[in-house]
Amino acid sequence: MSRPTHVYIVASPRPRTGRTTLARALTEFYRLDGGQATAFDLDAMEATLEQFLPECTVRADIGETQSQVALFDQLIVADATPKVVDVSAHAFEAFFNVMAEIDFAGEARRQAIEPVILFAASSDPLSIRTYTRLRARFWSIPIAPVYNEGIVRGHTLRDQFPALSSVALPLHIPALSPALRTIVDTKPFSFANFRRRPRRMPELLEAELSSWLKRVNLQFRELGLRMLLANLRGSLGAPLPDHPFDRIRPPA
Amino acid sequence: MAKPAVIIVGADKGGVGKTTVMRTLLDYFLARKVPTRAFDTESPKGTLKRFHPDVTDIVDVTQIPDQMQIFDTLSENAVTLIDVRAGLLSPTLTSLRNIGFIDAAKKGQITLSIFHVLGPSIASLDEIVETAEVANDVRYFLVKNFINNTHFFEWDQATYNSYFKRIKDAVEITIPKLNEMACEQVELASVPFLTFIANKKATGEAAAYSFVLRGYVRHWLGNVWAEYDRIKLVDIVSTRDQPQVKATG
Repeated sequence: MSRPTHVYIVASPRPRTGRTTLARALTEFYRLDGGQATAFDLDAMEATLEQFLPECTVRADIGETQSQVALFDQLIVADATPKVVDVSAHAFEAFFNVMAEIDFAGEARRQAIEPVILFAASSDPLSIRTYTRLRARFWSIPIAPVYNEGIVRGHTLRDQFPALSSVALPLHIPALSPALRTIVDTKPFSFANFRRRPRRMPELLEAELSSWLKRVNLQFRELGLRMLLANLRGSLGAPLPDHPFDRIRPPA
Repeated sequence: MAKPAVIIVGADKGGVGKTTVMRTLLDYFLARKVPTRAFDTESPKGTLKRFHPDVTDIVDVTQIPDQMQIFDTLSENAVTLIDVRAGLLSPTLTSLRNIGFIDAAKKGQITLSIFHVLGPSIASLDEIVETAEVANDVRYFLVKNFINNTHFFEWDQATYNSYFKRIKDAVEITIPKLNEMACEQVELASVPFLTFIANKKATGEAAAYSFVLRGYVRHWLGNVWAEYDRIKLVDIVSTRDQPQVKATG
């Protein structure tokens, strides 16, 4: 059985929800130890992801058909290379409209591509409404709410952002202290480089970042494993009853 | 027993997308396993034949031998589609009246449907008047084709309605816009829409068309077919021998 290709769509209809930091950390998680991952930056204004990870980021646009072709024709390639798409608030509606119109979810199933939407949650009504709408629109794609503690600030949003898939369980991203935030957001900081060779920074901050990365990477690893496991169970004919991939996969 | 069914697709003006409408019809019937044969009247060079060579013959509808080739060979086993060249819709309908074809349709011996593809200009509305006399005796569909231009049909709605109402029981069909790049790529590929969506070449070999463009075509064709389902097109061409009932929209 060939390894499925995971496509992580990191999205939020609101800016400043920690979306790009999450996309950076996820891309670098896969690139640790010589691994492969390709990132797609849909933030036409700032292109932050591309600035931090120029060697593996493709700048993408959703406005023109040609750009849509360039983006989605790469996302649908079953090459077992994880792909991370950073969908900015500005590109949010257009991206998901195109995705629905060209039936990305349907073609992904046929091509052994496994997309998952990582939705950066926040307590504002727009985010809550959009999450509900997205779940109804892309019912076959697991959607995992991402609680960035620096954004949700102690609010319990479990009821507003229910996770109904056993694959896409919520991700909890710890808050970074302001000092560490400044370091992480200053180019050319790289999470992978920090893991390989910790920077010179105060010991306390280094410990904080190590702990942050451990917690975040553990969740990425678990998410990837859950996706692989669900795929394996599906191919063995033992579907998980509440797993969206299994609901749509024809019986073995 | 089923009656022979004929669908005429035409307009008196060129460039309004008649052949595109024909292509969607051929794909529609193919998908629903309704046997079809098509005649392309763009003699001597037919655009339709480029896309559907297996089922298309090129004819000159003004020539009697070619008229015989079409109308003397009607069969209840296959729907006959005729792509009438620009400017020839009204003369073709007059010829059909002269050979008694319209009367046969009126008597319910054959099922005749006309897909009148409208362009954006006021001249298109005048065409409705010209064809109205014949149209009242057959199933008549006014096709608003938006495929090439989003700004089609900027007529005053009241004016349009006054023309539209001249044909009793006329039914309106809307063909939505298709993404320009997708449209262009299908043209370049010279294959039916269904073949393009299936990522195949005309020879049946695998092609490498863009997934995005195939998605756009799939979505668009689905919307076009929804219109044909709405008017119950398969039921229309499968009508059994009985007094003709007008389509209602």
